[in-house]
Amino acid sequence: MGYVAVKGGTDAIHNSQQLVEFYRLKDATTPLDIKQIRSQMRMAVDKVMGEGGVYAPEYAAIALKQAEGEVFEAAFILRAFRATLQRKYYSETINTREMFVKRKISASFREIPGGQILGPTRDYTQRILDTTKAFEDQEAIQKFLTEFTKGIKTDNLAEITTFAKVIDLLKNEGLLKPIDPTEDRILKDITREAIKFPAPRSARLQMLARAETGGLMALGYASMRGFGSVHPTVGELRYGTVQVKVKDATGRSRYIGKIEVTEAETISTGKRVKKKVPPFYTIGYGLCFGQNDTKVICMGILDTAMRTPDVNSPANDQEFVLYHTEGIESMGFVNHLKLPHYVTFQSGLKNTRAAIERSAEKPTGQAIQSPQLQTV
Amino acid sequence: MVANIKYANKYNFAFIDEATKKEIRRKLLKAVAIPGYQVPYSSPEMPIARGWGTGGLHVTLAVIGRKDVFKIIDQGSDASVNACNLREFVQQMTNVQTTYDTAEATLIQTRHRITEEELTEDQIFVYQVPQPEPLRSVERYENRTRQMHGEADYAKMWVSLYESFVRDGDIMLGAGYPVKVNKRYIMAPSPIPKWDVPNLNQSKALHLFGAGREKRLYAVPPYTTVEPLEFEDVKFHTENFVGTECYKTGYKKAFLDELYFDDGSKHFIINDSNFLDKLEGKAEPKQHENKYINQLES
Amino acid sequence: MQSEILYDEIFDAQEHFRLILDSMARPGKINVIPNLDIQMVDGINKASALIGFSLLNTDASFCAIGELSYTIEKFITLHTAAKIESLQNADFVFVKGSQSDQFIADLKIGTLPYPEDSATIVLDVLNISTEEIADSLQLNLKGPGIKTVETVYVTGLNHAIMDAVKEQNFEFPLGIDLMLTDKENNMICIPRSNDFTYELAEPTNKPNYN
Repeated sequence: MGYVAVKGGTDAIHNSQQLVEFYRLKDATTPLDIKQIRSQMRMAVDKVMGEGGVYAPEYAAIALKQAEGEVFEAAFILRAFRATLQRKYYSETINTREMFVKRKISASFREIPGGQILGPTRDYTQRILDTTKAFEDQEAIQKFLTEFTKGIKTDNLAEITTFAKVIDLLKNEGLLKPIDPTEDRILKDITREAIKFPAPRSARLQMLARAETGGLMALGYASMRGFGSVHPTVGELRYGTVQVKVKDATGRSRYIGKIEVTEAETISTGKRVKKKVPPFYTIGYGLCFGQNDTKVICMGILDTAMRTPDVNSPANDQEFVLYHTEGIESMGFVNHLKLPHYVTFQSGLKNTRAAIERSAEKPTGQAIQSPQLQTV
Repeated sequence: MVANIKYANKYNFAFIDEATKKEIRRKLLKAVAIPGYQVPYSSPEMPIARGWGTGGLHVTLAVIGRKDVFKIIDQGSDASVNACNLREFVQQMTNVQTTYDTAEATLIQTRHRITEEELTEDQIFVYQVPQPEPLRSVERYENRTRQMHGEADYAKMWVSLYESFVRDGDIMLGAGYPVKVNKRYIMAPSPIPKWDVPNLNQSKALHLFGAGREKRLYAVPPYTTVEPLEFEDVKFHTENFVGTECYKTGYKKAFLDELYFDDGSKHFIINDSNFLDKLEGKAEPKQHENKYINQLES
Repeated sequence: MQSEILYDEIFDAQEHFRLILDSMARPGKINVIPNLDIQMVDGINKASALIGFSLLNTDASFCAIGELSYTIEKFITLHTAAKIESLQNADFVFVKGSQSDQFIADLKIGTLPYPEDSATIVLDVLNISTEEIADSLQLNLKGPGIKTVETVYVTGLNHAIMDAVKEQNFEFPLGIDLMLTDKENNMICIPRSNDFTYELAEPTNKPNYN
């Protein structure tokens, strides 16, 4: 019997797999070292870890190499890898008050406890294409490192310390909305069960933490610009390392390592339900793996927006925000349009042709609108 | 309990970890107990993209055992590239026997078709579902569609079908035609053509549906009433292939693909690759019977 | 986890699940769970324990009621790591067919938007058979999964339990699902979609339910 076609399909995908590997390697350049990607493509690695939903810089770097630098694809590979790992423990809540701070800024006050610490940021660089990067060599790197290290006054270093948070200042002064005992404190893990709507805040934040940065930015920006009403002040944005601990079988807390995170607390004026209630501030929260300011700020905006549901602004609509900023699902579904759909198309074609025929039979009839093919 | 040492694979048998398999299995039992109702499940990421059959794979991998004979089709074809890819994945992760022969399979995964050959009581038929919510076209919010299903409040759906009839003289729904299961839930049968919809009714096989991206599972047990939505005076009908026939076999009583040859001429061919193979090999596969097919001549 | 239990977490669990799925999809169809050589405790049918092993883990909850319930709960949680829950919140409830029907009203039956958030009863009876047996309850099953009518005879089942289940399942899709096992590892399932009636065997000869 004619199974030649089946062979054809299998051969085609095997050839295509070979070809994509060929395109990755065809110029026979020096292989990218995983260490180099980890170190020199730091921001890409951070993004892949954040969207991949697993903190593993080395594996994120491998995924980036495998995907030829396509961040969506690398995050997807990492996410699929994550799904094969057994979850043995839930960590204790990480404490960002104890963060080893590398960067800490506040837009709401000129001076904050511990001061503004810019840390590593491109915010105040001039975005001029630096063509000398084309000639960067080992020597240049060494020279920079030597000079940079020389500039550090080792006898004048502050002791390692932690810093109080800006929101604590507001809280102590009674400017924040008091904690509502009816506020949802349900802890859901959306990797273990499908999200249900209306979703508790824990599920919303977890979805946002794994969401695609660009998607979050589009909606966060829309909300600020006018399709919504959240235009917050960055109360505090900090980036640094935090300790992760788990409880062992005896109930003892064990330190298992540290991870880098970026955290944002954005301040907005809360929506008052009743008149005659004094105004208050509300905090939007964002946290993600690695360094990614854009992502956590937009998380903060969307966290605030989603707490006041409003179907007229996309950012205030839980289902809209959470379903459509999920990068790996969005990418998969958009790309599935490339799969053959000739059976479904044939089905729609039959309807359309029949409708056109019916319309031709009735010359006095109204112009028919283009029928809706079932989108699948 | 004794650890499995029979398969010293790098990955677990059937890829998915046992905890997730158990979750999917518990949810599948609920799905069977409430025919046509969409059960939410965790839907972990798979090494294939969302929208490319992850839900079908979750179901397949949660039910498959070493004795199963596995068949997978896409658009009715064993040869479709995505079907080839998924077949290889399932085979590598389970080492089960695979087949193209519909009658030989115990577990069949599909995208967009039910086989032309009749399914048996010994078979499980698994659908890849892109959009499990039949009401999504009339109601965009999940919490409202849930409510509508809960209360069997399907007025919006009926209005939309009626409007379609008023506008175009017919219910203009094609593949994925909504059905009512066990007189209770409106269900999306996945984007199978209307041709296949009647074959869900009182089927001998168990039908399981997996929507991975949307994280929903549902089921139609065997011998369950499945009715396409229709009005008393505007009836459901299948795709009309009258006046056309398979150019290879001359057969008229199957879902046909429309082909355009290099010279621009149009031809039709049986869509189901295994059914076509069997007819060409002079075998006589037993076809599904339903009132729409039965009135056609072969 | 005890090592003397010869139970394969991957392949036995899969094989048993397929039998349960088949029984749930075809209410009244008797499937036999293979008689594995495992160390049991008193008070629960082996097939019921194997159903527990096949379906339960740390993400699911259960409880046992009636005689020896404490032993049974210990046994099941030892082998599955499933959470022991109150009757009102348990996903699975292990109970004997001779139990009074009081407990049924306490079980969760789900909500209209999420009817699956409901209990499954794993019920130990003495015999399940397609042939009529003395002092049995004749179950006549109708509904999804059944071509016309399926008839099964069960002994060791308090018919009041079936009345209570029927009452709880009246507001379909809300309801509870049943799995019955006997001493010979026979199993049938009765999902909430099932429209069953029963007849008591002679000589009691009470009128039909319904």
